[in-house]
Amino acid sequence: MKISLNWLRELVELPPEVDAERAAAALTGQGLEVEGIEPKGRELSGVVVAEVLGIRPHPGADKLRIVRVRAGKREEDVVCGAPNVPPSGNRVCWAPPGARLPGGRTLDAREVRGVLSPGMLCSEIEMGFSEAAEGILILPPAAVPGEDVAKVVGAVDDVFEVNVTPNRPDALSHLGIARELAAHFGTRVRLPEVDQVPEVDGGLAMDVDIVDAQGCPRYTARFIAGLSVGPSPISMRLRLAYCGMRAISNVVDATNYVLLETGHPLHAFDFDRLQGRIVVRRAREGERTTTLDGQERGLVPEDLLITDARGPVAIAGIMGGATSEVSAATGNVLLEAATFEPRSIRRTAKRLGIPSEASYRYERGVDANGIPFASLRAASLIAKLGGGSLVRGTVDRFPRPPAKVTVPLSLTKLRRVSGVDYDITFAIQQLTRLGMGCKPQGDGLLVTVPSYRPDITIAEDLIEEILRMGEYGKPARKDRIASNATELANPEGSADRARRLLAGAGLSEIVTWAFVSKAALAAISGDGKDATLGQGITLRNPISADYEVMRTSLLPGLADALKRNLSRGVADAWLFEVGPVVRRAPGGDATPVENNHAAGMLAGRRGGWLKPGEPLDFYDLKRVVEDVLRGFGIADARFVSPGAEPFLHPGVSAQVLSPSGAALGCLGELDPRVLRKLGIDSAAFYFELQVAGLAWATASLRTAAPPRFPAVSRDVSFWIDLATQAAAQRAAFLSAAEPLLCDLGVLEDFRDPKYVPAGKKGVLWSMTYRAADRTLTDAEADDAHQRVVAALAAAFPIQIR
Amino acid sequence: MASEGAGTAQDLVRSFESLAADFSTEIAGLRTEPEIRLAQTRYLGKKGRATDLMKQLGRIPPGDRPAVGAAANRARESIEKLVEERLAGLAEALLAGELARSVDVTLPGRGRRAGTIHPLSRVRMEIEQIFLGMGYEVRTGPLIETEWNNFDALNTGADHPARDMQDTFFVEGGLILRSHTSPVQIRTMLAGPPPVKIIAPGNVFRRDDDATHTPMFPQCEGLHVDKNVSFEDLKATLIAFVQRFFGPQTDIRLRPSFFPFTEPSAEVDASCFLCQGKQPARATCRLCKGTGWLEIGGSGMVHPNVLAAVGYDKYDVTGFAFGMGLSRMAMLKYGVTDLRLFYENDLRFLQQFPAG
Repeated sequence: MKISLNWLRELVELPPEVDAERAAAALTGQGLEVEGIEPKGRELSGVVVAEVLGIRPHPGADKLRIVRVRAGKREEDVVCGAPNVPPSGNRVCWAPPGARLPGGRTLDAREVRGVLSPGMLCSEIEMGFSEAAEGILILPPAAVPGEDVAKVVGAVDDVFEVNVTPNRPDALSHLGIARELAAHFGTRVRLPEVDQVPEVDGGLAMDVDIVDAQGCPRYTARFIAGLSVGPSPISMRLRLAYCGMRAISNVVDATNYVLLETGHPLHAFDFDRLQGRIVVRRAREGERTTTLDGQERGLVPEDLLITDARGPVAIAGIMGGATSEVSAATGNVLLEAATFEPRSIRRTAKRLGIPSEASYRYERGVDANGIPFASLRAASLIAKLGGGSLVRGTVDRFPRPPAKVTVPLSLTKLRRVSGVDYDITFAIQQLTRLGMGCKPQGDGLLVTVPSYRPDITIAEDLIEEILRMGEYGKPARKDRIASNATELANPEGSADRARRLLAGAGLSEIVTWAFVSKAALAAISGDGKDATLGQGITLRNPISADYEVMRTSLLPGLADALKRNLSRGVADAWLFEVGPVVRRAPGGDATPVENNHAAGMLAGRRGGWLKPGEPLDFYDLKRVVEDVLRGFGIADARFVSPGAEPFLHPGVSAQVLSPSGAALGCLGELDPRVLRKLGIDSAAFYFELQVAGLAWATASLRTAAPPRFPAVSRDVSFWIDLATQAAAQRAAFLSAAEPLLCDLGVLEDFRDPKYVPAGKKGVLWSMTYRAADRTLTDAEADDAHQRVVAALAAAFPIQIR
Repeated sequence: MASEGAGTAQDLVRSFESLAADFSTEIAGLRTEPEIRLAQTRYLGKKGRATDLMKQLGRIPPGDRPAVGAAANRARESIEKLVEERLAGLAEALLAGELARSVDVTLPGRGRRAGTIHPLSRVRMEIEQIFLGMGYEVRTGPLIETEWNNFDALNTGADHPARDMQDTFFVEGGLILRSHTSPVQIRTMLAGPPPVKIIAPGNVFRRDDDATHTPMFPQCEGLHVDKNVSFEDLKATLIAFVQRFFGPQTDIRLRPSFFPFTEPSAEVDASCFLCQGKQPARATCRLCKGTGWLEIGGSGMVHPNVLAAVGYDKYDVTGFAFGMGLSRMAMLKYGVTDLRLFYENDLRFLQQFPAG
């Protein structure tokens, strides 16, 4: 909300040393954060009020005239081309030589078609007051010739941008902000002066009937007769503009001005365009109305309306209707000042999508007790600006006056919540400054809350009021941060462990959105054939189609990140992400299942040192997965092909199972068809593991002392069927249950068709034999090796080489 | 050798002398230890030349034998000494050769570099560590929440204007994406009686997507509920935190504010760790933009309605809560000026955050 410092100074007396910075600091410190201060009117200087003394034609041009003006003791002839130069005696704005205008222009004496003109007469545009104007600005007769125009119209100002939290409707006005400053500096607010205008009896009258008292606790109508609509004075228009409102006409501007001043929304109806009486009621099914912005609006029965004999004339608290709008022809006005139920206004404003200055305040709560003053102030201002009269007598329907609010505050509670042993006089002093009434009660106070503070309903609210006037900023008086928790758990521990292991394995962590596009899920799920991956939880109001469904896998995000890095020339990308995926609960339970996954994507080449490396393959990927599994204490996970995931290459993928057979995840090369759909034109390797599975499988770590006796190694090389996997061979060797065999591994797996019989592969295994209690002899090792090789030969047809 | 057969004692002595001289000549041409050892055996071994000469000793008159024996010993000692010197020389030359080797130490190390931890993870881990040290447990909750946990239980009713402050994502089944980490407070308090002392890090979601907002962002929330937990405790805790996180000179500033779930409420500013809030550095400080303060989060005393919603006795216990945006903390801490960098996942940015 924009707040003019000039305006504030009219409403509250501030100590002379208080400048814009200090006033802003006081407000910010009290919880009304001033987010910015905008100095206004500083670019305009030297333009003075001048009285027109006479006008004569310009000898050299039909459209120009020579205007004699006086400012103070100075009289000059100024050339002016404006069509609206007023007759003698009026006040205009003269920029004499040396005056500066916004944009950096400095005036000088200059010849205009042969006549020397000392400066110029200015329009609002030239002085930076508005963006449109017809001719020069004419000031009211009260302006004293010779005075600075910027000062006379209030152009020099500081405008605060105040962030008012939604609990403080009282602060949505200059008066409300003035109250805060008065409390801070220990001064008093001054209510704006009500203009003295002529009053008449009778002439205009209209009854008001509130059908829905729930929706409209108070409705008042005042009548202003015999006015004429025109522009409002420049000082008022300038102030409205500084506060972000457009000037419209004297009548509408006056209602907006008083709104900004007091925080009370007001609405002016053209009295002569109303019929019968004002009825405040809910809309009827199918009812429609055209608001003053020219839009036709469909209404629903929860909308609160202001109606006359013919139908809706305004949507209560939100926007007036087109049919009763004040126009240039308006002569008589009905001024509405009312309160409406916040909830109802909020719903209608939201549904119709027309937030307004009025609805913004009604949604937060307008003080019913402030209405009489705001109404009188606005009505008088309208009468003054329009040259009309105030009709005596006000219609005031007040079916639901607000109850007087009192809140008890015990000293014990104040001390317990604040942690400081305040005494009661301190509390009274703080609350009194904020306009609250304090009466002793029990060990504390019974506090009467002003009706403009609907946010204060419980003792804690009062405690904040007591503390926010200076106590927040004081240093903490004690240090009580010691532990009293007994067990320090970190559920993110396993996820973080995965992060550290993956970083250690050479991958870089990325973070991607938890929601992805439906197209991405289709791409990774075989067009939805895999329902777990393809049927994600959808967002009802996504920001865009890129983010419309919760991710069921970390693959779309990693693929996206890989694509971006490749497109930016980063070809060697080892990426990982750890985070939740969201999947539908089995059995149709509405609450989805969220599980942390750890996934990685590798693309590029192996690290070649001082020469290009080899392209990556499955085993680079497997090494990473093994590192993570080992980090979690799983040394003997099983890798089972074919992989089950629809996005992996059918021949180059595997499921990862725990030793007990529980699924831990998958790994493999991405299916080239899926890569194409994901927009990646390079081979990529991918794994995805379930963090909970890893953590669950984690065994307590058991170790053995290193062996004391030397080992003997023996190799065996053979042809075997291509399809017989290393794990099967290993199992066959181990089936010998040879006690001396302590380790075995593949040294070579060769498949070159030039040397290998068709359908076969050559494998070289190396076995290590050792006894725990002695050095083995060659003969013992030979015997053991023979038994182990025989076990393989018994299981599979092999040819020893 | 037979030609020496009829030699006198003198002849024999000369033969031994020439034996040593021959060996000296021969060994000069040898380059390896095995060659030298072989030569040594040829002279001094069981079947060597020295042995052959010794066999002639029997034909020497006994009176002359000592002189011949002495010559034999001299020859043997001389040969052995030559061998020793030569081997030592060889070893020295080998070592010198070995030590002459050198590498270009400015070439990079071999093998794949260790990976990196994302700055948002890094800053979260650091914050968790600080609070674990202060006796807080870490708690987490689901991304998909009920409106009750996210709003109603937090004193934010359906028509509460505060619901305007954050635009929420809705998913199917009447559920929402949590708009803050505060539902974890609710879940924790519903799960057990006080005392509760937790922090709750995690991603939250709001319908915002521009230069300074992302639709998903990480927060970390703190909650301490117990008998006699006061506003002063909140201050003390926040000071302890910012001093560990930003540095020991850091101060805090609390400003009154409004959150539906706390009363009294406060915005938390930390003094700028770059300029220390002191002029003249402050005037041109790009981090705090000359204010001397960095906004880091919100805080306050847990609203009695929140305590009541989870069935806690609001007359018995009080509590404080605080929350901060981790992106903001990471931006401040690592000098990141563009929020979008956290989500672009450009390796050239990410690789500046080594694990460890």
